[in-house]
Amino acid sequence: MRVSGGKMFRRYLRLIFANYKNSLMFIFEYRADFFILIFKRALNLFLSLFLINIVFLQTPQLAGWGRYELFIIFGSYLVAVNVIKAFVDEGLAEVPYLVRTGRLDLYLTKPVSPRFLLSFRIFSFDHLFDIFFGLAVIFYSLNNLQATPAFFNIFNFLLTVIFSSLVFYFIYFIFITFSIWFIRLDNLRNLFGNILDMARVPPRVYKGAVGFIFTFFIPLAFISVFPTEAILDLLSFKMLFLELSAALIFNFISVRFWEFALKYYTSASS
Amino acid sequence: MKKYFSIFDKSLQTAIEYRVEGFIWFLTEIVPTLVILFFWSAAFRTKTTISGYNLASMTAYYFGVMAIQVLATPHPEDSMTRDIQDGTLNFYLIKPLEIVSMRFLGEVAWKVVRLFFLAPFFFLTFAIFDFSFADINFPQVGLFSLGLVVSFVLQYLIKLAISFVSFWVVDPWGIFSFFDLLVMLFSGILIPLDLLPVSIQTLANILPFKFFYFFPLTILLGKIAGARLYFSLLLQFFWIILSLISLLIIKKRGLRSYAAFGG
Repeated sequence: MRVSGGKMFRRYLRLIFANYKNSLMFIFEYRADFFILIFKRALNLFLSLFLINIVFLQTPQLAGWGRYELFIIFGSYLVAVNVIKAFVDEGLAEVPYLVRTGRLDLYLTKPVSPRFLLSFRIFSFDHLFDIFFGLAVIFYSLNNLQATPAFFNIFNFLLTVIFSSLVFYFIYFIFITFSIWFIRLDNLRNLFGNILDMARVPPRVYKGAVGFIFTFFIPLAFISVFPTEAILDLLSFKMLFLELSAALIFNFISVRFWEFALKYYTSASS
Repeated sequence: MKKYFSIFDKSLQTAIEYRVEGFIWFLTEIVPTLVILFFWSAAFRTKTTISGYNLASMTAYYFGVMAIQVLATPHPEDSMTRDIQDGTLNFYLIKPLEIVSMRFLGEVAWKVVRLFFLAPFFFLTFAIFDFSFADINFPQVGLFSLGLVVSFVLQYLIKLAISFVSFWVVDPWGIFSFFDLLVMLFSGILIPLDLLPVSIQTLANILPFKFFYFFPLTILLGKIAGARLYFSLLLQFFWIILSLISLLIIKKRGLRSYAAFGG
């Protein structure tokens, strides 16, 4: 039976709403865990800012950026990375487990896109804290730089955050797809998290082969440098177009790779 | 003795069987430190010395951190906590095995496999960072290796002692989070302790965490010698004894109140 586009859209919206409601109920059930997590995150974030400060006590510039510009890079990284973590991380992290136990069957046989179901099952509300923290760091740094971004810059900033989140969501999906072949890969999520964390400093600090990989294959600059340049009115339209093109290309690759990998899925359940 | 060797052998086989998973854990251990090292390298492009460190000594410091993370940082907490929570511990309690030593050997086996990842990685990355052995001599490397062993033992005892809190608490996750934060701040894993404010250094000196990373690394870089070195070695020995005694007491009391869930 064919379902119209509008009906399908409403179905997806209802699913997202139901999933996110469940995620919220989970937090209310484990309130203490939620607050301990937030406390740990806050201390972690202050430690990271502390490290940047310690380096800037010794040098006025790092890879061509000043202290407050680097704070904006860090804040932009927090916003973009935590958008990915809030929306898709928990759901995708469970894929290796679903493959190993054969429960992936349940997702493949539903009348909605399995990619959608797997990605948007759980919303991690705790990452909203990091997003607000990132925005506060950006606001504080702009204030210290005495820079007042125009509406156009804020709009571009939001666009770069959305595009970079999409690029890295598709890269994450490519990573997770490998679990179809390698059965016990529950720690892929940790590795991907570490790769995302590499964007907290300007990609220009990475030298040699590492710099090459994280410029051309996994473009870290999208996450932190592009939003920073957008808010500081340094980003050209060409770069914005490049980011959008990268999102489309990575989407195409991740879809095709997923479809290819599914041919090798043997299912472990009875 | 033979039964413990069998346990080591079995753990080694498991570590080899799940080598891809082990390799990804290896990457997750070193990547954050690599990022910090790149960060410092960029800072040294405009300065030759920062608070007594030059690029060579800073590079050696973070390579040392990576060596400790990969070879001398055990992780008994997850499996031990899970075993207590779901009752799998029963399976070991009815056997003529002592769980503290048994888990210890299992951790050592995983670290042996990690060595095969770390050695080629070091050879590949030495070139990127222009790593120099100029400030490092053979006795320092020897003492540092000993420091790795001591760091491993101390971390193992403390982490296992915290895991045993699961005998009373449903999930000690919050305690481990707090422990991780203390390690990050006071062990020297993120920033060499001598670059931190004096107040934090004073606190670090009375806590055991600096023996995880900073102390073996100061030996490697030849920054500690004479009476200070001997005093620190004695202090380290004191922390090991204290951790061992605490662990055994917590284990004994914990087993008394263990409800042994599971079939």
